[in-house]
Amino acid sequence: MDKNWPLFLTIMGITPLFMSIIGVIAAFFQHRSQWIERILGWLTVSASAALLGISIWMVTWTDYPFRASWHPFAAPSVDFYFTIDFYVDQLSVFFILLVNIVAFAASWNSLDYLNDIEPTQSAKWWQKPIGFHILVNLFHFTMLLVPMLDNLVGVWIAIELTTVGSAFLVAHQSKRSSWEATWKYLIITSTGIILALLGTVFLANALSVNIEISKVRPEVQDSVMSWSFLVGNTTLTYRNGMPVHPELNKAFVWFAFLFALVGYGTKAGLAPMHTWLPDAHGEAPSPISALLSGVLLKSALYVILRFYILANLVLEEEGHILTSGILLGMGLFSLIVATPFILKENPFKRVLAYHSLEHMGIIVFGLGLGGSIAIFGAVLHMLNHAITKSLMFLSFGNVMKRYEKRGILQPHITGIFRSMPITGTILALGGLALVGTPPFNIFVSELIILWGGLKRLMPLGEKAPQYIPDFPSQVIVIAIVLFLSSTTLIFYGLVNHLRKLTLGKMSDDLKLKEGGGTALGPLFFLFVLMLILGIYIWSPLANLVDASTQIIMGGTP
Amino acid sequence: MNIIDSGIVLIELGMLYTVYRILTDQNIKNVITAYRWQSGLLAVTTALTAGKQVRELGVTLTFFLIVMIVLLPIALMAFIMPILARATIYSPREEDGSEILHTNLLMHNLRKSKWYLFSIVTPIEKLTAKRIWLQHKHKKRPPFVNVWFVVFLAISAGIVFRGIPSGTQGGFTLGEQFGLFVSLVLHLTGLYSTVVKSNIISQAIGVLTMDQGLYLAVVKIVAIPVPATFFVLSLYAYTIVTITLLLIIIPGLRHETKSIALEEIEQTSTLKG
Repeated sequence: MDKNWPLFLTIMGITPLFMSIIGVIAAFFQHRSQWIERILGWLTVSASAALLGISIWMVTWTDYPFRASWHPFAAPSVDFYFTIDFYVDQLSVFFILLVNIVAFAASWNSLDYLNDIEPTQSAKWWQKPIGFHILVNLFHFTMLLVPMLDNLVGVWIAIELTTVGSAFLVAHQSKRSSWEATWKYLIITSTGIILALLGTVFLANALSVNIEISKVRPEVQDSVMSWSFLVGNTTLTYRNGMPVHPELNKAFVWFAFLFALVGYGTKAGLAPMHTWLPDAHGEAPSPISALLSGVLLKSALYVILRFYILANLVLEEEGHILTSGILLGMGLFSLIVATPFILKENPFKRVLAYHSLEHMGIIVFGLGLGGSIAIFGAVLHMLNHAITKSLMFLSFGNVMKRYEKRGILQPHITGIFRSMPITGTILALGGLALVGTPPFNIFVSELIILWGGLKRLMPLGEKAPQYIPDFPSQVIVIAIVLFLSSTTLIFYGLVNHLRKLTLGKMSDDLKLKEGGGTALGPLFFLFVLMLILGIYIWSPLANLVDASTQIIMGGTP
Repeated sequence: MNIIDSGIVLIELGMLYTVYRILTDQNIKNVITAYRWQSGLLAVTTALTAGKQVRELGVTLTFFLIVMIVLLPIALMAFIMPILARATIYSPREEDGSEILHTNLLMHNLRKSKWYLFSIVTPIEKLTAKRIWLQHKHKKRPPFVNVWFVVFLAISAGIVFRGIPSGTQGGFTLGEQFGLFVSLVLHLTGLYSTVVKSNIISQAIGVLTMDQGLYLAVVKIVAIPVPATFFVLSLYAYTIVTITLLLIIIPGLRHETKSIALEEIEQTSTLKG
């Protein structure tokens, strides 16, 4: 590793993998003591808490970016080097923070989820608590890898690896609907992800136009697919020391962006490639739904952002309008598609899954609008949505678990305010937050996005800055009207669902236990975050979001 | 065009024929056979293409890398039938073993252990799977519909390909152009199969066909040895992940739904709305 690469980043990267390995070892001894599962569970939570602490500390750093190259295999005699490049800038740190917040809350709540689970004799290894912890740690590891890797092919591999862990976790309950959801998830995301790889192949070919890779020093040839190299944040030298700035073929970059958008967009749950999302999020255990919705979708969006930044830098003004226009259109389309499904009668977890589609649409809508304000709002919205959606899934998961013990299943769950007042209150307030009610966090980020859109209606001047797509005013007006219409209808839809859940009639003797620290602790943690971010944004965090915005707009802060 | 290039083009024509068979044949067993032929032809064409690039570029390349490039399609050709046969019959851990017929006590005990995934599929199990494939009812679709779809997809691939300018200095050779066209056809037909096929086995074949299309594209247009090495590794990861999940997810799905037909699964599904 390079000397300026902080040790803590390495620790952060390998800790979840290390926890998985501990889990595998523990699996061989679980028959000796029932405490091994619990110890592993608490170790997972402690490790997640430590990583969260490191991420928060990283938010205060300013010496970005950090780079490192790791050569696990090198055979100089035949000019063969296999290099893994790491690159961490403020955008990476933002996503690392997001991953660790949700992973901490989900792993903590998992202890409550797994508390009463008694695996049957024929249960597979991933259906057992130890298997669950192994997979959650593996999932956590792969999601941390995505924002830390520089090589775009390596990033693809990391995204593909997230499929492995998450697929088994979606199928955890081994019901027919879980298997169906997993199968659909695999087929659709595999189809999408292979298109993303095709996009990356196009990008590799874009590079070979003006640079002969065979003339680049062998030990850095693998770095030619690194994002930081492609955007020109670094240079590779020929053997005689001449600096190389890559020029990329515009047509190939354009194709690369389109295929990456469709491919990674499938994983990010953007319409019309979203059809796996309601099934997988609805059928997975609630802590896993929180991870899928809060983090996995954002990880795929992170990669789209990296391609988006590269495409805008290469394609310049005329291309920027197209790339941003496509994002704007996809965002609005996702929002519009989600609306009727939130309005109709559906199991509540499925409704929450459609809210993920809605909010991913809002984020992409903000990114497509362009301009520093809208993009700032979109970036902040990623964090806010992750927190709020996780809160909703975890709190409803607590409710489902307790109601199901009494034989009451999802469509018939009602009267939560009376049966579980604390969880019910959090659920109701979280739901209001989710639809953009003040004084919560989602209201702030949605307002900023809207403000960014309205500001775009003001004339930009003789020549728009290169990093702002110059849409006609009519387009922006229509986009804002559609945005407001959809979000208003969605507000009505979710409030209706919450009314039935929390205020419906239930039998007087249905008093349920709220659960202990593992049930309520993560809820309070996320609720406090949700409330604070609605009122105040810690200035290092604001700086981080601002720097991320600058990176999205121009490649460097 | 020299004799090697001509040979590669002929092999790629053969791959186009396997695409035609995968799309038009209603028999699952024949679809799998066509896929196996496709994998074999892919192994040969990638070996020839990689070897040709090594010779032209004068790149020093270990034998290991060439083997790595051809190993995946060869492995798929050899193992896809037993993998899909295992996926089609009930999970061996199932209590009711009426569909599992073991030829000997060793196999029976192996199946009961946690290492059952690594046990070999027996001939009787393969026969059972083939019987299920034959019983599977397909939609009555006129053969010419699928033929027209093949033609349409090939034309679409051609249009997409014509829109892509030459990326390498000096442009693509005729052989490279044809190879790219074939890879796009594989990709699009795999996607089409995934969408329209009526059973989960054929859907899996569709996903794997897309993978093979991309494999061919990588070997054709990405510089060897780098960054092609990374791409080949990524395709290994994709295929290994897909196969592993096929070994576990399809048996689980079939155990619960008692069917490989998507229509039957959807009719009785509770995932609606």
